[in-house]
Amino acid sequence: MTGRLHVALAFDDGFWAPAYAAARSVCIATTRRADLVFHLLEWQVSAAHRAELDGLVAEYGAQVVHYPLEGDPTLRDLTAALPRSRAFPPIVYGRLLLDRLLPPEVERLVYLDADVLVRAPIEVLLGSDLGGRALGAVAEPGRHRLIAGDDMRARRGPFDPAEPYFNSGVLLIDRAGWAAADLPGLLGRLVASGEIATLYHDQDVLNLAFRGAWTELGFRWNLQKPHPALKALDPFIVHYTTGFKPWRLLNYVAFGSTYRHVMTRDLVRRYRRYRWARRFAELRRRLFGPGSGRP
Amino acid sequence: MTDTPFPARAIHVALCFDDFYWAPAFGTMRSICLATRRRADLVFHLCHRSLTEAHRRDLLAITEEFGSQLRFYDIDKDPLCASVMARAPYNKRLTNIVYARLLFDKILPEGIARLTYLDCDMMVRAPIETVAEIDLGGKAIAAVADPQALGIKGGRDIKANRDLFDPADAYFNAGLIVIDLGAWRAAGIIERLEAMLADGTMNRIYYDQDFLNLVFAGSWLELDPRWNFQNPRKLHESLNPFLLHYTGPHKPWHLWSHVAFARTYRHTMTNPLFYHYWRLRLKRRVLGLLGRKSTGS
Repeated sequence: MTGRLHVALAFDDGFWAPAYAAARSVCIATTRRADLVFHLLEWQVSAAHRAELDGLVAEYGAQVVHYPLEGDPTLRDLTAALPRSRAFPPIVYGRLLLDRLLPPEVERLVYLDADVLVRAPIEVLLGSDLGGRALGAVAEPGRHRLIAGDDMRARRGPFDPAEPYFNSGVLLIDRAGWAAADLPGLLGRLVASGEIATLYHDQDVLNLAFRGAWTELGFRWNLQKPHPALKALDPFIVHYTTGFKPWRLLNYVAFGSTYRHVMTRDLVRRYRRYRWARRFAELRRRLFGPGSGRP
Repeated sequence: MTDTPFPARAIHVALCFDDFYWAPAFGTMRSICLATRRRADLVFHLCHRSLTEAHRRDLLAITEEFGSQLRFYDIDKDPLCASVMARAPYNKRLTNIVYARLLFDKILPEGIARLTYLDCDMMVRAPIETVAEIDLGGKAIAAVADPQALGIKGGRDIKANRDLFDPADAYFNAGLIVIDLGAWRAAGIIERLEAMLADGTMNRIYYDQDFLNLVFAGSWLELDPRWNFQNPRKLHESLNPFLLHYTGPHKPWHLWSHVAFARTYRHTMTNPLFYHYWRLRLKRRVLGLLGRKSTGS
């Protein structure tokens, strides 16, 4: 893999610190830091937090490109009718717009969720053989129940539990194939038909779009539910998919201690204070009504 | 039911269980059906001790839901099986049902070339045909290595049965066996078993698993461990195993268990059957403590 190494992340202000740690872990794990280009799809990220992410330029010589999407009419229209929660803010759908946002020279890229820790040179993943397919991803271990629901028959979604289904936290993307899937168009059609209500957020949308047309990567490229004992497997990318997050005070995950040093101990502390302030402001809003507190 | 012809591309799967294991057998079968699209090709050969009508009906739900075939073989009514089970050493945990699989070539009808045997404490998570139709490369069977091999065949201080097993030799777990029935038949299993019963060998080895390892030594194909992932704990979920084998005392049908995909297992067995089975076991245990016998249904 020669040339630029393109990596995309999508996050809102509440996840600026994990996004920083994920991007910094990419920088630490490769010697080709100056080739890195981070495409950051952002939702209401403050100037101070954006500046923090720009720190990767000074420390590693990587490029950082910001894409503030809170004012993007396409994303606003697409997500207006979608279910949203703290865990699934509108920005999670931002990656569906990657083809429209990225400069034309990007032919291949890696998309990362913000709750990952990269431990291997990203150019190895970027150079993986996709076998002519548009997407490379890792199977979702919990897919059967996710697809079939209670008693493995309650959920009547578009998928069969017998078919392959990927976790969308780490994606190796071929730009042309991704563009051909017309994801914004697909999302628009799913919203219009009401089918979106039967889907599990954007992960189902992506699985629907690339059904039978993705290449399965080894599970070490997206090690989900990373128990500390799984460190022995020397995973390439650790994905903190459970409620145990490595930035929390109490966590029981693989590489929790390493993660704190990747995020930097100073930022871990500040991020903790930020989360407490947000929680406190939310509590105040609930108790005393809207407008009574802002983080 | 037994007159229905086999599908043209039949995937033959065999399970052996006694009446009280009907619910886990159902869970294993349903997991197979859920994980493959070739549900109509599946033929389940159920070698069982005498079954209650209610449990038979529970099992038949597989046909209703997935269109797979079920064939029942009451081994208590098979004189050869009954004779072998009566004379072979009794497995306290698994009962003597374990010996039924040694007689597949005698129990099952003609015309089956390939058979996949599974223990009933298993949950399948990938299309079964991937392993059931694997190229055996001229070997008689395919199986996964047993991580506990050294302790099982070597015993105390790894010194037992050195005349039968070399500690360095490969040894498989018999929970999943992909069988070329022609080669199985040619191995003369019943004759070997009779000889080992007669000379006392069966009394000093680990039941049928050691026996099968002796019969097929050097003639089995080793499969990826993810096809018989033994003793799977929660942390192993990340490895996306294809087939979970809940070996040892930790079973997914226990109300509290820390095994991998315990919740998925409950939904695979289905919640009504899961809790019915739990109540039944509880009742049996309580009656056992009181010195009374459960009716079993």
